[in-house]
Amino acid sequence: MKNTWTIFRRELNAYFVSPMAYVVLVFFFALASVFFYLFLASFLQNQQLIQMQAQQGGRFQPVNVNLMLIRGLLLNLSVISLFMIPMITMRSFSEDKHNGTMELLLTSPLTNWQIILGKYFAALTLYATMIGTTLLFMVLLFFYGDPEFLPILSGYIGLLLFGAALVGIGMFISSLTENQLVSALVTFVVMLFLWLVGALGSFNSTNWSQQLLQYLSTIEHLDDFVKGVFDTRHLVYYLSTAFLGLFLTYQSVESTRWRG
Amino acid sequence: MQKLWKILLWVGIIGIVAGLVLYSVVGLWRWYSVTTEIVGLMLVLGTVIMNFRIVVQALGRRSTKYGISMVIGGLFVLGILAAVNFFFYRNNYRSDWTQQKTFSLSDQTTKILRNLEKDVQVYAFWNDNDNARNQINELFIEYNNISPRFHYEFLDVDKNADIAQQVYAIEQYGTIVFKTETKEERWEPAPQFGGARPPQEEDITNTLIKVLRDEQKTVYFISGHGEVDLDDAQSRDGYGTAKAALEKQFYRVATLDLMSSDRVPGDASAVVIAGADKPYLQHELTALTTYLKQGGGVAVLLDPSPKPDFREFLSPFGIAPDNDIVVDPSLENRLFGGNPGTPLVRQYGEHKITKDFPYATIFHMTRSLQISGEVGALAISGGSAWGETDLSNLQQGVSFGESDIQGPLNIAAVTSVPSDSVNGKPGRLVVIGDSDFANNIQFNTQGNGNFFTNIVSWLAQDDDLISVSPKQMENRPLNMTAGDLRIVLYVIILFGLLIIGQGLRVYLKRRR
Repeated sequence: MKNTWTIFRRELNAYFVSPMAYVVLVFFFALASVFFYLFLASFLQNQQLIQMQAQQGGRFQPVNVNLMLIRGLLLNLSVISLFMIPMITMRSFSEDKHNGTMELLLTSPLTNWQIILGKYFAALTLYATMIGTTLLFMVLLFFYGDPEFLPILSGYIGLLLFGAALVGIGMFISSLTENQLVSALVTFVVMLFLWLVGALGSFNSTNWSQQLLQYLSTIEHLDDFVKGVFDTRHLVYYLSTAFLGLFLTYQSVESTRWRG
Repeated sequence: MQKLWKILLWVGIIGIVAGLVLYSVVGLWRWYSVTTEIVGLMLVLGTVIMNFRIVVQALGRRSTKYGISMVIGGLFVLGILAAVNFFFYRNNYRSDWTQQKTFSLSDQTTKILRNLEKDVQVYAFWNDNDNARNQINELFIEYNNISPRFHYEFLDVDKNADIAQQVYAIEQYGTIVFKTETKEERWEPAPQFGGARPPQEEDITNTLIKVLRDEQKTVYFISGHGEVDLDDAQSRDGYGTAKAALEKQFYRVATLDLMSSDRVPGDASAVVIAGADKPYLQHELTALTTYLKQGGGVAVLLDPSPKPDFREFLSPFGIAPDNDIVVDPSLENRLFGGNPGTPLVRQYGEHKITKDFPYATIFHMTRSLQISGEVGALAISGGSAWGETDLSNLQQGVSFGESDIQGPLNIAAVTSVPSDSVNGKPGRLVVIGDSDFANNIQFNTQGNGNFFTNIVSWLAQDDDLISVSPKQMENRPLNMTAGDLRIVLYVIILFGLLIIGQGLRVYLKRRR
């Protein structure tokens, strides 16, 4: 535990003393802000239109900031994350391999799991910080309105789990190569594939093969969280994907020990 | 020599894969795919046997051992994860965190789905790019979540034109076909401006109930005393619209002549008396009373005098029609679309027929009803209404007089009739002071049509057919002006600059 903590601190430190973390944070926040601002402006426009119709004797139509703004926004945050996660995970093993510090780590009294978990949670913390910057939007929305809290909470839980799964996969890919660019590119392609695989079954049906494809897709599981629906299926999917990523990382790190 | 074996091994492996690919493309084992497969297998096996010593040596090597154990371990973990995911896929816990339970189905629907004993396949003919499709898909996801026997598929009418036209003869865009092994039911959207109206939970569940139902129930309308015309879908007074609505709910609708027979047919699930001009003969009323006491369902739709009041038939059950016309001149009544002679009802008794009933109903020229004992009021007029008893001077205007009956008044009443056998189920009786409310003109006004079909469903013991009010989105607006929007923009920019500033600070500190 203590060793994992040490690695965690070392990695987190490496993220935040280099400009890397800030580049990720700024890029993400800038893109998220653009989406937020556009969503907000269009929501207000919609709201105004509906109010005008009601004043002219039309039927009263409600507007709902949770369903008409936050839900779409949170889904979009996951799209932006798709571009950012490879930048977060690309260095975790590739850098150590490239700098030759991997041998040092492997010959140290640390176990593989301690190294992997330390690195994993450091990367996940950076991801959480990145997602956390968007809480500013929620604060603003609460200031100007009365959004429902629980669906927002479940949305953020979903985004965290989504990140936990993808960071796991990114770590595995990073452990395969010492080239950070290759690591980032491959991670991006794999994530994009896991994203789009659900669209192969875009006929939304209960046909089993299409259901399987949709089940494998990372985004299909996020939608319920973002709606405000908590389902153990999605929890299990994300946690097992994260575990699979970590397990494969372990196998990959272990193999460098005996392959020499 | 070693090199040759290596090449042969690879050729063998490629042969095996190619054989499988050929099979998957053609879908059958043909001579060429079988040959490729066999040759590939023989090459691989041959290579392994001929180089058995080297293979054993390689197996003995530490790295091979590790490699094999790694692959086995990996497959093992993958298998466990797949099993865990499958288990939780089938046994999930789902909870809707929204305050209004926006994404949950009603209790009735849940109950029906939990008890689903047959597989139901649903084909929704909605195009891929129709916005309403997502809305329907979200509903279907919830249905399928509760019962895996609820299967669904969306079919784009344009892309699957052949299936839509030839197999299902889809005439209207947006039709949803429900199929079991033995039966087929369909839901068709009412046409509206700007595309078809997507189905609500109520529509989907009711169609589901209908497709699960095995027998077709019959509703009889008694004829021969100047009652409403079931086959007239055109004129004001006809009941063609009501008949069509009942048939959509999978009822057989027929007329019944009681004058020539002394009893109600055994296949009658409900009997409706609507707008009779002349009083019934004694033997007809006796037949109806017997039918009620045997567990039947009867609806009596009266009208003000001079039409008969059925007092003799109804009073034993605790219902006495007044000899009046309900008048409601209040502003409220007018505001919501009524007029003095057409009271609007927004208050209903507690009963399955009107449970969670979201609509108002209007009754043009109606009697009021006095009720006693176990009888429940079903539809109740506003408090400012009264029952005008001076029917001779209606033309000169009406005002509340001494002999008039002060509101609120009962416009519809409901009661159960005890069975005359020991363990028999009780009969069901509904009385309404008006028969016009379900005619061709008024059926589609306010909630009149729903009120009528709900009554018939209850009489026919179809308590499971439901009426769920469509979920209204909760109003959660933002109170922002254009100025506020600008403030938001500045706050965001400021926050972004803070992150950049912190990054620069770290960067410069490292440079020093």
